[in-house]
Amino acid sequence: MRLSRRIIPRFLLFFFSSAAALLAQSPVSLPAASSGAWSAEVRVFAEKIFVVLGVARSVSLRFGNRSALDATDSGAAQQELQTELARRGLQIVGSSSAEATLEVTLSEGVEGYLWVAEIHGRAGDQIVIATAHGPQGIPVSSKSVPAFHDTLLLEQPEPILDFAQSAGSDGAQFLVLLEQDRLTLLQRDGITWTRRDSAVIRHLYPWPRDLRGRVTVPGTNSFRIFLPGVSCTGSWSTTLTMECREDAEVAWPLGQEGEFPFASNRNYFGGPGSVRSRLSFEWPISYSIASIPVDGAVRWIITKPDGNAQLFEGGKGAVATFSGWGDDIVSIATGCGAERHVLAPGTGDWTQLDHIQAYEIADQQGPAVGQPLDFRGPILALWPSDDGKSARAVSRNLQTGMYEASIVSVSCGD
Amino acid sequence: MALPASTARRPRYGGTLRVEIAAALNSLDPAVAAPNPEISSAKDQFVELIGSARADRSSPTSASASPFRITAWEPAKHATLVANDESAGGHPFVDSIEIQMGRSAKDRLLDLELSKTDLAEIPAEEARRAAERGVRLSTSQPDELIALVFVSARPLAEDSRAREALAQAIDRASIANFILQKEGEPAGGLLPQWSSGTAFLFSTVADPGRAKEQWSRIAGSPKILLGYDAGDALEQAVAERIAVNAREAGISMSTIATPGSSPVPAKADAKLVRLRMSSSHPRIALTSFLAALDPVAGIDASPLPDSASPGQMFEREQAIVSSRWVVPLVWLPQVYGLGRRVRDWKAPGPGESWPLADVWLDDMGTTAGGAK
Repeated sequence: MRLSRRIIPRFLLFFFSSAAALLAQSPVSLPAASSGAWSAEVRVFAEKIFVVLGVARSVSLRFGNRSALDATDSGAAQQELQTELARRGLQIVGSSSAEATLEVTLSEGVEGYLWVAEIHGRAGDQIVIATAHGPQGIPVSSKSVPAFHDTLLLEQPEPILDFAQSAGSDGAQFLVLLEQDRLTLLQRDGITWTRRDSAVIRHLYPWPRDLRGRVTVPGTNSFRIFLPGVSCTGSWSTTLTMECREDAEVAWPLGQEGEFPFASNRNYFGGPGSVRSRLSFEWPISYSIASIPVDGAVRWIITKPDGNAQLFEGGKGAVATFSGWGDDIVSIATGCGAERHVLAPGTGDWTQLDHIQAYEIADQQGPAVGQPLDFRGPILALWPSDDGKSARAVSRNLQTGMYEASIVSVSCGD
Repeated sequence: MALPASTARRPRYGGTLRVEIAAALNSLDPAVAAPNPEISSAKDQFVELIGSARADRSSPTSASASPFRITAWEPAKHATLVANDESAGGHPFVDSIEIQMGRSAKDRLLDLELSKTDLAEIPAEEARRAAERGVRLSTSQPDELIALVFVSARPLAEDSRAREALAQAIDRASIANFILQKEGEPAGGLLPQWSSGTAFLFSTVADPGRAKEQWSRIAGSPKILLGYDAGDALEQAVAERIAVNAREAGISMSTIATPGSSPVPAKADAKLVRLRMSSSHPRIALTSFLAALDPVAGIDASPLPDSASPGQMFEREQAIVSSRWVVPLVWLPQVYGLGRRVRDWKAPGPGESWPLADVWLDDMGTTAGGAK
C-alpha cells in the first residue's frame, strides 16, 4: 500500500493543529507576491509546504490535475504555485539533486477544489491538504462562432425565468430579473451587477412544474411581468413598487406582433380555454410562437407538443412542418440575408448539453444557417428581447449548476 | 445516456409512469412492516422513492404537499400513485405512477426490453449486459461501498498481521473488472474521489508478497472465515474472489453465508458489508459509515465535528484504513434502466429521493395533457 507506509497520522494531527502557530512566528521578508487567479490560496498552501519542508530548499516538483479544470486553468494554477515557491527561495531541481520530492495534485471534491502535496523528504513522507476556492475572475469565454454574439450577463444558483435590461434617464444600467417568486432589480456597477431592490410575487395557487415567465420593460423605469395565471406591473425610482393580479386567462406578449393566452397550470400557450386567437382558427397548444413580418403580412411559427414546428402564413393553416427544433423558438431581426432568423435550441432533455441554431425561413423551407452556438447545459428559456433584435437565453451550466442569463444576437458573419 | 433521435425539449404533461423495484414492501406502517429483515422501514423506502420532500420549486404559498398520493396498495406487489395538484412544486408531469414491487433483476431487465416498464433498478453488475441488450441506462456517481470488516474480539481479527495480510492480498481491480464488469471502481478509502477529493491518496494495489510475509509470521495454522449476506449474490461472488486471492497469497480462508440481518455474524472473523452514502457531503457520509461499522469493527466511531477540514477527514479515514479493521474494496454506482419515452430523469445522489415528479414521458403525437 502506497500511503500506509508513508503517512504517520499523529504527524498530521500535529501538523494541522500547529501549522498556524508556526506560520505566525515566521518573520520572513519576501518579495511582493503575484496576484494571479489562485494567488490567495497558493500563498497559504505554499506556506504549509514550507513548514513541512523544514530546512530543505531544493525540491523536485511534479504536478497533477484531478480536478475538472482544463489544462489551461490547471496549468495557470501550477504556474502560480511554482512562482510562489520560487519567490520564497525554493529551488525546483531535478530529482537526483533534490533534498525532497514534492508531488502536488490539484484535486476536487463536492465542497470544492483541494490542493494536496505529498512530500517525500528526510523527515519521512508527509501530506499537506489545503482547500482552494478555484480561479477567480476568469472571464467568460466568448464563443467563437462567427455569426453569433453571446454575452453572459449574470449567473446565480437560483433559477431564472427571464430578465430584461433597461437604461435609466441618467444613463444608469438596470437588469430586471424574474425568478420563481421574486422580481429583483439590479444596477450595473462597473463590471458587476449590484442588487438594488426586490419584490415578492404573491400567488394563490402553486406554480406549475416547469414554471415559465416573461418580463418586459415597456418604458423607462417600469416593467411588466407575466406568469401562469398571474400578471404584474411595477416601476422603480427610489424604491421598487409592484402590483400583481390573478388572471387565469392572462395573455403574454411575444415580440411586437401580439399577445397570446398562456395556460394557468401548465407550461404552454393556448389549449382549451384559449380566449384570444390571433388567427382565424383555434389557437393550438404551443410551447413558443415566433412571428416573421413579410411585406405587410405575418408568418407564424409555433412549436407543438409532438416535437414539430409548424409554419403558418396567410391565414391558410400550416403550410410547412420542421422537425429537429427544440421547443423554445424566437424570431429576431438580423439585418442580413432573410432579414430575420428563427433561433431554436436543440432537442434532448434537461440532462444534456444544448445549443442554439439559426434557421432561415424562405419558400416554406427552414434550413439551418451558420454554425450552432454551444451552451454548457440545457437552455431553459429563450425569449425575444423587447426590440426584437436579440434573444434572451436562460441556461443551466451542468458543470457548475449555475443558472446563466445571456443575450444572444446574430449578425452577418463570415 | 442516449436518447431517441426524435425527442422534445420542454416537459410534456400526462401519462402513467411504470416503475419496477426490487424491494417488496409489505406496509407503509413501520410498526407492522417488513417481516423481511432487509426492510427496516418500508415507509422510509417508499418516501425515498416517491420523493415527498423535493426542495426545489417549493412555494411559500402552499404547504409542502407530496407530489403524489397513494391510491392503491397491494402489499409487496403493487402500488398506484396519482399526481397531487396541490403539490408545492406544482402538478407533477406524469398523471400517475404504477409501481411493481419485488420484481427480480431478470424480470426487470426483460420488462425494460419489452417496453413493459419505464423505469427499473438494475444491479450494477448487470449494467453492462443491459446496455448490450439495448437498454438505456442512467448511472449515479459511485456511492455504495463494498468493504471487508474484521469482527472485533475475534482472536484472528485482533491480530494486526492477519488483517494486514488479507488486506494486501485482495485484488480489487479484478473484482471491479470481472465481477462488476467495470461498472464499479476499486476503493482504497472510505469516501469516493468525487466526494472527498482525497481518495487518490489511498492505494488500491494488491501486494501478495507483503501478504505472504505478514501471514508467515502468524504461528499455528489459522483460517480466516469470511461471512457474506446469504441473500446477496454479489457479496457471494466478491467473497469467493477474495478467497481465491487469499489462497494465492498462502492465506487459509473459507467463506460462509450469514443472515443479512445479523450485524455481527456468529462465527466469522470478517464479513462483507455494503455501505450506501447518506449524503454527498464527505463529513456526513463518513460519520454515517463510522456509525454503521462501529458495532462490528474496533474503530473510532466518534462523529466528526461540523467544522472538520478536508485534512481532518482524511486523517480519520487514514487512521481507520491503515488499521485494516476496515478494508475498502470497490465503489458501486446506482444504475437505472429507462424506457425510451422517459425524459429528464436524473439518477438521485446520496440521500436524495427519486425525482419522479420531474420525470415526463415523451409520447410523440399525443396531447400535451389537459389544463384546467
